[in-house]
Formats: sequence, C-alpha cells, structure tokens
Amino acid sequence: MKRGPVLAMLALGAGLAGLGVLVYQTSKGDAGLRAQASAYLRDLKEIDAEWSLDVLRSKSEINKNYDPVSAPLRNVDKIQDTLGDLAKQIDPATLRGPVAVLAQSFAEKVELIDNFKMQDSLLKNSLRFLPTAVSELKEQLQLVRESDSAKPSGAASSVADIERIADATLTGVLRYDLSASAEIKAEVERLLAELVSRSAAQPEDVAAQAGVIVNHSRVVLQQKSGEDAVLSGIARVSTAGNIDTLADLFENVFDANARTQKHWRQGLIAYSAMLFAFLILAAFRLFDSYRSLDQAKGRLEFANSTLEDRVRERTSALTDALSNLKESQLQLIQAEKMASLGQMVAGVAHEINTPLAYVKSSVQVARARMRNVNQLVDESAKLVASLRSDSNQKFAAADFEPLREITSEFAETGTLSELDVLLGDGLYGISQISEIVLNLKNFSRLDRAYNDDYDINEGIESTLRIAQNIVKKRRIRKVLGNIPTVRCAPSQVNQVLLNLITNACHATVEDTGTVSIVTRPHEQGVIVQVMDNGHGISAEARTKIFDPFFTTKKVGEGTGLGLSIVQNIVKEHGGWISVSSQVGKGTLFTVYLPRSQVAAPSPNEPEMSMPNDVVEYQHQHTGVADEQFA
Amino acid sequence: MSNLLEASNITDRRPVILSAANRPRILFVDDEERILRALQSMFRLDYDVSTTTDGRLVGDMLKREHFHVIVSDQRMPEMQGVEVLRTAREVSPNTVRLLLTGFADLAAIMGSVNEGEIFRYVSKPWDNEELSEYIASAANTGIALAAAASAKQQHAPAAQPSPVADYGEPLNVLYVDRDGRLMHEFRADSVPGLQTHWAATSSDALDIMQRQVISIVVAAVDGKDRENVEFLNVLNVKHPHIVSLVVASVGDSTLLINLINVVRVFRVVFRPVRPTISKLYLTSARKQAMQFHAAPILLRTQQPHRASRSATLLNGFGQRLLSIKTLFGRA
Repeated sequence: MKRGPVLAMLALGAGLAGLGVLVYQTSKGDAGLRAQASAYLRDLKEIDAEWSLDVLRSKSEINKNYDPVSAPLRNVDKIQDTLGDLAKQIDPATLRGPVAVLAQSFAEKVELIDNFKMQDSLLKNSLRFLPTAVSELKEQLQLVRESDSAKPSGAASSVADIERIADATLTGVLRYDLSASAEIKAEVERLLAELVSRSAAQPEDVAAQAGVIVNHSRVVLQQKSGEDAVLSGIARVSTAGNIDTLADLFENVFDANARTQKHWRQGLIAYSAMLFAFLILAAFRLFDSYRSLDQAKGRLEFANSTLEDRVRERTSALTDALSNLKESQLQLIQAEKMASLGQMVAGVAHEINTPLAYVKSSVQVARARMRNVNQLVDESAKLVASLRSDSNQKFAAADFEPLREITSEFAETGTLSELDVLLGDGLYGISQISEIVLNLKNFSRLDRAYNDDYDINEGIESTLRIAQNIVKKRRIRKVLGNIPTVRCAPSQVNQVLLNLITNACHATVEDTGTVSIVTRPHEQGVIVQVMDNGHGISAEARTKIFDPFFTTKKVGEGTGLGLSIVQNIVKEHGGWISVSSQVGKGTLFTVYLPRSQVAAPSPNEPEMSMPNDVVEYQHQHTGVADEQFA
Repeated sequence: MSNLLEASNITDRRPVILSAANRPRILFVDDEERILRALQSMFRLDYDVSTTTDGRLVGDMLKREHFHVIVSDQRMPEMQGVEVLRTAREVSPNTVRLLLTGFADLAAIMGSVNEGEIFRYVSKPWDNEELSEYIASAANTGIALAAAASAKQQHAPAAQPSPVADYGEPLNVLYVDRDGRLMHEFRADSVPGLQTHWAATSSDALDIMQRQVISIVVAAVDGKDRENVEFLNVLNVKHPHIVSLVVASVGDSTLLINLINVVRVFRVVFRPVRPTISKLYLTSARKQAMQFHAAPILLRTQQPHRASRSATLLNGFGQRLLSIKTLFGRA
C-alpha cells in the first residue's frame, strides 16, 4: 500500500524526464544557426572576392594605397572565429577540419598579399624613378654635347645613341611592366648592356647616372616577375573553394540534423500520445478514487452522526460499569470484613467449644447422678416416716438396708465429691464462656457510640483476648504507656488493632515468635506500635502493602484488603500509619491517632507530618528488636 | 457369617461386661483436663478408664498394656490427634480408634480415615448418650478383635498356612462413576492381582455383582455420582466385607464424617488423584479385602453407626442387594 504513491511519483518523474529529453532534442532546431552560418559564409566569400579584386586594383593603381588590401583581414578573422564557434556548436567532428583548412588558406592568402605589397611597392618605386633618371641622364648628356661641340662629330653621335638607348630602355621596362614577357626582358637586358658599354666612354657622372638607370631597370625586371608569381599564387589560393566546401559541409550537417530532428519530432508525437493516454487513464483512476472517496465521506458523515449516540451509549455503559465496580469494591471490603470475622469466629468457636463440651457432659453426668440422690432422699424420707409412726419400735436391720446400700454406693463411687467436681467444672466452664462472650462484646464495641472517648490500652487488651487463639502461641510484650483517651469509633479502632496484631503473629513462627505492642502519648494524640520478629517485608512489597488486593499470603488465606482497610480507618480518624521493616528481622507498624479529629495533622501526607521524634523512636525500637533477634 | 451379622445387629447401648475386674479398657487423650474429668466421670462405672493430656505418651502406653478403645482429641499442642491414632494403629491395630474433636479441618478428617483408619468421628460438644453408644460399640468391637487375636495366637500353628496366602486368584475391583474416567484416574492396572470392572451407576454395579465376586468398590461421590454414597451405605450394611474407596472433588466435612461413621469407607481421595496415592490405596484395599476374608471377625469394624440402618435405605435396592455373589457362599 505504501509503495503505490512512490511508484506513481517515479513514473510521473520518468514520464516528464522523457518528455523533457524529447522536447529538448526537438527544440535544439538549428534553423537560426543555419541562416547565420550561410550568411557568414556568403559574407566571407564576398569579402574574399572583393579582396582579390582589391589586390588587382592596387596593382593597377586604381587604388592609391594598400589600405583596401589590409582592411578585410579583420573581418575575415572575425567571421572565421564565428564560423569556428558555429562549427564547434553544430558538429565539431565534421566541421573543425574544413574550418581549419579555410583558415590555413586565408593565412596563405594573407602572406601572399603581404608579399605582394612589398614587391609591388619596390616595383612602383623603381618605375616612378626611372623616367626621372632618364631625364637626368639626358640633361647630363646635353651638357656633354655642349662641351664637346669642339670635338669630332663622332662624339656627338654617341651621345645621341645613349639618349636613344636610354629611352628605349625606359620604354622596354614600362612595356615589361605592362606585359612581362621573356622577349621584352631580353630586349631590355640587351639595351641595358649597350647603355652600360656606351656610357662607359662618357664622362663619369653620365656613366653613374646610366648605372642608376640600369639598377632600377633591373629591379623592375626582377620584381615584376616576382610580383606576377605572387599574384598568380594569390589567384591560386583556393579560399573561395574552401568556403564553398565549408558551406556544403554546413549544409550537409544541417540537413543531417534536420533529419534527426524529424525523427525526434516523430518520437515526441508518439510519446506525447502515449503520455496523453496515461493521463487519461490516471484521470479515470483519479475520478474513480474521488468517487470512492465521496462514498467513504458519506459513510464517515453517517458514522459521525451516529457517533454521538454511540458515545452516549458507551458513557452510560461505563457509568454502569463504574457503579458495578464501586458495588463490587464495597462487596469486597465487606467480604474482607466477613473473612476476618469468619477467622475470628472460627477461633472463638473453638475457644467456646472446649468448655462447652465438658460443661455439657458434666451437667449430663450430674443429672444422671441425681437419680441416685433422689433415691437417697426417697429412702431417707421412708425411714423418717417409719420412725415417726412408731417411736418405740425396734428397727430391723432390713429397714436400714436400702439406705445403707445407697450410702455405701455413694461412698464407694464417690458420687457426691464427683458431683461437686463436675458442677465445679461446669461453673468454671461457664465462667470461661462468659469471659469469651464479654471479650467479644468489648471487642465489637457496638454498645459504644461511634464517637466515643476510648482507651486504646483497653482496646489492645480486649483485642489480645479475642485473638487468643493465635496470640497464645507467641510471646507478647506489652509496653502500654499512660495515654489519653482518643475520640474514635472503638469497633473500627479494634479492627485496626486486631489486623495489626494478627498480621504480626502470622509473620512469625509459632513458639519463637515475639510480638511487641507499645503505646505512648504523642503531641495531640496517641502512638500505637506493633512490632514482630517475623520474616519482614521486602522493600518492593513495602510500597504496596496498603494497596487493595495486595497480599503475600497464599490464595484463599488473605483477601489483600486488611491493611488497605486499616489505612482507611486510620485516615478517617485523622491519623496516619507507617511501616518499617527488615527482611528476616521483623516489621514495625506505627499508628498515630489524634485525641480529636479537629486537631489532626493532614491525613493526606502522613510521611510529611510524621514528627522526627517518632522516627527516632522507631530507630530505637528497631535497635531493641535487633538485640532481641540476636 | 450369620452370627457375625447378628452380632452387628445388637444394640450397643452398653458394653459386654466381661467381669467386674476385667472391664473394657478405654484410653482418652485430650489436652484439656476438664474434658478428661468429664469423660472419666461418665464412663468410669462401666469401663476401665485411663486418660492422658500428652499424646506423645500414647505409644508407650499401648505397648505396655492393652486398650480396647482409644479416643483422641484432634487439636493438641504436643501431638495432633491424627498422629496419635496413626501411632495407635501401628502399635496396637486391634485397639478401636475414635476421634473426638470440636474443630477439625478437612486435612485432619482425611488423615483420620486414611491414616488413622478410625472407627468413628465424634464432634464436640458431644451428647453423652450418643457418645456412650459410640464407645459401647467400639468397646464390643475391641473385645471381639482382642478375643480373636488371642484365639489366633493359641491356634497359630494349626492355622498355618494363612488363608491370605491361599487366596491366589485376582480380586475384582469395581469402579462406579458415570463418565468412566475413574479407572484412568486411578491407573487401575498399576497394582497386580486386581481385575478391573466398571459400572456407570449403582444399578449397573448390582448387575455386575450378581455375576462377579467383587471385593473392592471404587466409587465417585461428587457431581452426578452423589447417589453412590447411599449405594455404598447399603452395600456396607449387607456386605461389610466389600472394601470401599471414595473419590470426591470438593471438601465437605459433613459428607466426610458421614462416609466415616455411616458408610465405613476404607479410603477417601480428593481429585486430582495422584498416581502414588491411588497405587498405595489400591494395594492397601487389596490387603484389607484379603484380611476380611481370612479373619471375618475384622468385619466388626465395618459396623456402621446405628442412625443409618433404616429399612427405607435398603428398599431401593431390595432383593438384588441380597443376591450379590460373595466369597462367603451366598448365591
């Protein structure tokens, strides 16, 4: 039953987790990424194309400087980084390689472009300086021509040749710059060689200038071929191709993702349908539960409405039980009284029985003997009559014979003395019985008022007499003090004394048992102590001895109510009772009864109200007891 | 046998006076001297009365001299009455024993029958006339037993071997109770030499007794079997040689005293029956039955108190009771 809710919660969690996974997989949808990636790739491609164009523009000096060639680098890097991120995000395994390849190709391109910038600047510098150098050569040659006018005309023709060669060289170089071909290069090389040889014969400064021209021309030739190589290299770097490849790959990846997503979506739909079905089932079950809950609630309400009636019934049943219990308790207390009364009556009956037996027998015997006495009287009367009738008659022995026989039988059998003994015993027996009856009367005290001034010592004496049957087999020590009378119910106080004394006797062994009874005045009342040298009461039992029904006697020997009733009586009289005991040594009961109940200490807390000197007294007494036991 | 029955029918108002010097001898035991004085006054004219207040002296007294009757109180400080009477039975079995007591518990009554095998149980205070009857009856029985014993001693060589030894075939024991559990409670087969029979009611028992010689009857007297008391009573009157054992479940002193004085029961057992007790009692009963057979004079002790010998009791069983098979030759 307890596993139900847990399982339900687990199932719900699992269902929601599955749904979450499916929704996540479906919503991972990279439509945005796809658009982003293709946009970046398009931009990159455009930038790349424009870049290559800008290189050519710089070459052909449409662009006045190299800025357009350097500018795209930043954008390219940025876009590449972004693409790298995207690739990482989408499908690193497939895309990282191509992105790296693209980056590599861009790096190559950048390097080539830098190379181009350097070579192109050298080339352009030489190209721009060459016309100036040729012009300067021509000015120097003019000077030579003016100073050499005195000289033969041969000299004049060589200056002109130099000028022509210089121009041809310039033209050749410019042509080479426009269209680098091996023929032009060879032509320029030849012209340069001629220029060097011709200018050697000219003054020094001319030759130097010619040297300058030669150098720059050579730079142009050299750089031009290098630049062409670089440009063709740039053209060769397959950035565009790589971009396309990357774009294709991106497309593939996205397509693949789209397909997977489609599967997930289908799964989601199926799963949702399933969950829905479960939900419907759960809802149905829930509805069912609610319905039974409703029914239960209905029943509960009904039970609630009848509960009060039942409570009332039970209460009355309990009240009846309580009154029965009280009645039983009263009956039990009565039973205890009857039980102790029964014991007492049995004892008293035995006490009375013995004298009764011999009194009855003696009287019967005496009566039987009376026949002989009657006979004696009759015979005597006869003799007296005959004596009177004739005073002078002489008596024959026969006349005396019957009387003589009777008197001799009397003498032989000792009838008269026997009669005396029998009647004496009879009277003694009757006095015994009278004494017992008097004790009973004194003990019951039913002739005394409920509240009477009673001498406890007198109560002890009469209790001892009444309990004689059991008491006579123990040694009794009485230390009865000079105590005031106590206002009490004498019959109840006697019941207390009888119970304590018989308990003390029962605790001891016959013949060796000693029971001490002590009375003494105390404060506003009287202390009575009953001590025995019996088996004692264990500490555990001591806490319970005043509880009703607690008994250490065998089943049927005690009701367990004796001390409980004793305590009740003592409390009702405003006194208290306490007990001290040593197992194997003996027990001491102490009862305090106030002279009048008005001045009584609180009966609810007997221990608290027990004065110290009583405790000391107890100890003293226990000491006495120990000596006795030792 | 007929002599015996006649003898038991005589009214025991007074003892058989043997001679003035040789009166029946009675020993009274009681701790109260006045009781003894009263008893002495009462009986001294007809009997040779001795008294003692100390039960411990009884054994020696019985060894020293013969008494026909001993009467003991139960509650005495030195020695309980049951103990006194048990000692008496051991020392002098032919002295008839009575318990005279004012207040005896059940254990004492049980002990007096099972251990003391007393002849009568008398309550204090007694009625002189009634006590006289008890004592006279006891004295006559005691005289008869003593005479038989001395006769046996005289003829002792001729009487050998003892008839007890002759009797070889097993004795029949009849259990009477309605639910038939008595046999099991008693472990009927625990004592050898006994044949077990069972009857649910006294009527069934009589039927069996027409066919079989029954020596011992074990009867329950509690609950539905209460009527068995009456049955045992009339059985004892007509056939005192049948030894009866009684099983009861409740302590009832009146019933027990009736069983002793009127039914003359041999043993009384309270439920639950302990196996050692049942075995012991069955063995004793077997011995007793054989002694009755060997010495019919012993049947004097089975004589019931006169109060029960009413004809109405016998009417219920009528002729059937008289037609019981016995070892004494009556068909």
